[in-house]
Amino acid sequence: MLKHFFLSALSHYAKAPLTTLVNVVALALGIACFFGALGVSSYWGQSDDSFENRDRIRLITQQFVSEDGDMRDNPMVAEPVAKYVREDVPELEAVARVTASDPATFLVEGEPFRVETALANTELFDIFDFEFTHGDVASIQETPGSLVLMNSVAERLFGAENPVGKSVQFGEDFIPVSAVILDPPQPSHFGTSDQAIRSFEVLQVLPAASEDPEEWWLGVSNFTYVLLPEENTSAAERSLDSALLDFSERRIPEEQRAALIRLWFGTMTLEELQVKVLDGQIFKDNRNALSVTNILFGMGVLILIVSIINYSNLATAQAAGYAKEVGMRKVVGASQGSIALQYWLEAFILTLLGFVLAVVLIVLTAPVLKTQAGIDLMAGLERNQYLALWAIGLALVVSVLASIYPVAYLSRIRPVEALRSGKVRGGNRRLTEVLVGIQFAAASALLILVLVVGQQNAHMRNLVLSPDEDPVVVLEGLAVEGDHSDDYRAMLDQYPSLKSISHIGYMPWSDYRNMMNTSPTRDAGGIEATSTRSDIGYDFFETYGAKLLAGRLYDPEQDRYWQAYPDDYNGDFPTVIDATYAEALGYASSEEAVGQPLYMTRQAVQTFDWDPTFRIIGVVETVPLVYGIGNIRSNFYALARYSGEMNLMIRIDRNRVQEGIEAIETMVKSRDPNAVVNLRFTDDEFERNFQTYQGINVGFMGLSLIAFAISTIGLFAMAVFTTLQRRHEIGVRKTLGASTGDVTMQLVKEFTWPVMIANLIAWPIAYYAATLYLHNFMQRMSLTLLPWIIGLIVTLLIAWVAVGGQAFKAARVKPAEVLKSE
Amino acid sequence: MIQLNNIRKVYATKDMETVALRDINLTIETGEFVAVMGPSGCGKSTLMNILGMIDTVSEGQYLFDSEDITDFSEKKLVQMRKANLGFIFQSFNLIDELTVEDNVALPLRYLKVPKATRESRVREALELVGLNHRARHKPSQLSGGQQQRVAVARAVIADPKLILADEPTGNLDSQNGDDVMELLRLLNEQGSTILMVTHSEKDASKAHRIIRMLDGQIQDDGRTPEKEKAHA
Repeated sequence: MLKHFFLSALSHYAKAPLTTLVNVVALALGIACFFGALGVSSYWGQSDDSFENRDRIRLITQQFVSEDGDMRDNPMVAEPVAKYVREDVPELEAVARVTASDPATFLVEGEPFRVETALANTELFDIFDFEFTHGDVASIQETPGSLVLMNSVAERLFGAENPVGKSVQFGEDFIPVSAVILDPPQPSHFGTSDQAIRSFEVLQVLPAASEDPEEWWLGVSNFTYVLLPEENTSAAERSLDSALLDFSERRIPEEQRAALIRLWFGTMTLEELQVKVLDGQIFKDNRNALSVTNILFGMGVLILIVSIINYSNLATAQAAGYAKEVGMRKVVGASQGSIALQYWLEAFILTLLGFVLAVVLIVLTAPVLKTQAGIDLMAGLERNQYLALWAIGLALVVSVLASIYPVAYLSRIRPVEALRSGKVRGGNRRLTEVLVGIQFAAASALLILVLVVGQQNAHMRNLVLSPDEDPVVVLEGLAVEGDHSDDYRAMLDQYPSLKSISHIGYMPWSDYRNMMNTSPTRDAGGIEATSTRSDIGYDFFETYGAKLLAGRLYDPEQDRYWQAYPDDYNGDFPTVIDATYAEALGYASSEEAVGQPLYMTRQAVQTFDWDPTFRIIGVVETVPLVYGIGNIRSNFYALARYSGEMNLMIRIDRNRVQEGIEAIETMVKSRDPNAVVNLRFTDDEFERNFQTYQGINVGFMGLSLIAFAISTIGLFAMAVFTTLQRRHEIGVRKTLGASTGDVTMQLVKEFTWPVMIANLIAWPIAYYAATLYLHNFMQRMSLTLLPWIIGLIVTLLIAWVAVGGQAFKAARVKPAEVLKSE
Repeated sequence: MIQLNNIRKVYATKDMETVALRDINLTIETGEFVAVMGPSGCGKSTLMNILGMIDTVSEGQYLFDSEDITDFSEKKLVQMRKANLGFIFQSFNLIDELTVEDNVALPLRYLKVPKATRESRVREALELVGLNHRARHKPSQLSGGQQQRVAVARAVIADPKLILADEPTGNLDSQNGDDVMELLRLLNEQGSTILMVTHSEKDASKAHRIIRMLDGQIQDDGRTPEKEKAHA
């Protein structure tokens, strides 16, 4: 019987090759998207699985809700955490801390090299079995304070020579190299690439015993790893969890805890790390509600559902043509079960063909994904141990879901009706409209979202990348201490290609989070507003390009750096804010804000033991420097300089860029011959950091367009079938006087309604998703109706094109031909 | 009203040609009630379709109200059809998704008759066929006889010059068939010109004139005995 069903299915496919192709392609796209999502999340889930102890390693997380926004599941913790966890849970096999550090300039045989550095305990090597090319754990332990180099850096610094036993110069110190390790195989959170979460090229290793951390819990810059023991693993994990439950109450000083609404500690596996950090990057403070994996899966499933609906609709419409066959089968004894089995088998065969095509699609797109986003989809899928189960389960589920509607429809066919005319109506027209509507609602919501994402990205690029402006470069951390911008200002006259110089405390567009919460009044209950605090030097606004709107800018004659004031200073700190912050603080205009005081909030005063009065001297236009942090969209500019390394910011004449770069090198080297001139254009930095967004967005856009394509193909095929089914009605209408235009319009109008209603359903969903996305940006575009209107027009146009041609073709039918066949 | 001169209709396929009508010469005057009879495949329906302007001739000339419509474009034929013709089919050909009143109103919609006029004329037409109380029903909720009465109401609503009825009682029992024939007779008495294709001698006897066809040709064209008597 199965063979008979199989042959029958083949004959049905042969009768309608276009529909069969549409179904297979749509199912293949749905299946490919689903397995693509599965492969990507599997890939992230395999992070660090080259380390033998991966399953026993836990990362301590510091989760807190602050007034400035939610920053949950932060994998970085305060410095003292490692010390106290070690004390609280002695059964742990090892505890190690890796501390983020600024890039440093090392001299090797007089030649300067700038490298990414981090500090770590020796216990790190008990936890992670890095592969050594030179030296070993013993050589590290024997040389406290030594450096461990990644292989790629060792080659850059020392060539082919073995660096162990050699030293590099850092400032006045000579630091020995104790080992060289291979970059861990990807995916890993270690490594030297931009994508590595804890990237470093050089580790300076400190013995655990030497640890005496500063009791400062509000700065988080440490990864703290623990290794659970091989025996009694679960018990040790329970002890760890229990110790972390009241860890903050027991360990964090009361006055520091007061600055936070809630603070608690937890753990995370290495498997979870990659996804959670990515979620943090993409969704910022919404990351607990949203997850890249969930969204990817959601979109994969959505596209699969769209393709299943597509199949259901087409198969049901197509089934109308088999009514006589089904009627005959029933007359000769076919049960409903056997009819169901036959048409499920038909769906199952197409699903299998869809799988084959999906595999081809995945194999073809995997290399692109690897190059563009660094994600090895094939590795993700190959190493997923449940892949076969997923495939079998999905083939069954897809074929069953896809065949439910056509099977239900065919099972209800009355043989007498089918045999009399050979035709019955192709399913419930309302249900068909609802299904087409669902497809289009999904497609329309995704299209609107794609438009909003595209608009916002273009908005950001327009803001940052203005080709008619002078380029701005940032000279990252000078090798010698102190800020030099004031010295360099005096040298500007010698280098006419350089237009302006200032400094900034961080690299624009980096993942910088330093917030300032102030109020125009000291009274409790007054307006409070949070902004990003940017520490800058004189001439910053001229250099970066922010126009003064009211008041004045920082002036060396009148204003001093914050650090220059004595500790007991009680006067005002001159302050410049941007227009957005002035508005958030309740000022009706920039002019109104000038001259007004600003105070730190009461909690901040208590925490930092500092109660200054900031006096607003100027308000500047809001310019982009960082992505958004929660709801913060404004800037508080502090005239500040540190004794540590600062970033010089220089504006170069756009007509003399090369000359300008050379001038900067000359200028910096003239002051410090060993300085590494590490220039970064702010627009390049923007592009580099924007790549995460771009990559993910391109992925989401691709998935959205696929869903849209399936819906359009589905609608087109539906139009073909519907017009075929309605030939008789069209004949009657034409006999009664309808023109071709009347009939075409009638059919087009009928397809327009589901698409219009689908748009209405899609709009609030798209609005919610769009606001979530825009939340990530400090410089948000104003959300206009445009994407919604374009979405509506595009979906309608596509529907009209898909339906119009078919409707016109059907409407040209000669009534006599149709009525004759009755 | 209608004049057909040397009409020939050929259906051509890749392999063969089938002559459906040959040498048809026919005149129908205003107010006539004409029945067309003949065995299956004799060309009755083809003749009907040509008269109804839903099919075109291969050769010959078709004059409607003295106007030669033989070479009219599809667009012009649509105009002629909706202004002058009403149709009744054996299988009713009502549109399942529309209510009775919407089905009846359809010709007026295509004539762009204003809504208020349309509604009052639908009421009149349904009253004529005794189905006002079923105005909001769907065709599937009616009996065959009722459905055919709806089709009659639809055929007359635009006040056509000619009503074409293709085996109007073919799908009805005798009682319903008689009712429909009575309606047609009434319409004819009121001035409608009717051309009816039928297999039923009984129904044909209600006409003024019976045209008998065989193999695509008119074999006989004569008045029915009652009408002959009436003429005499």
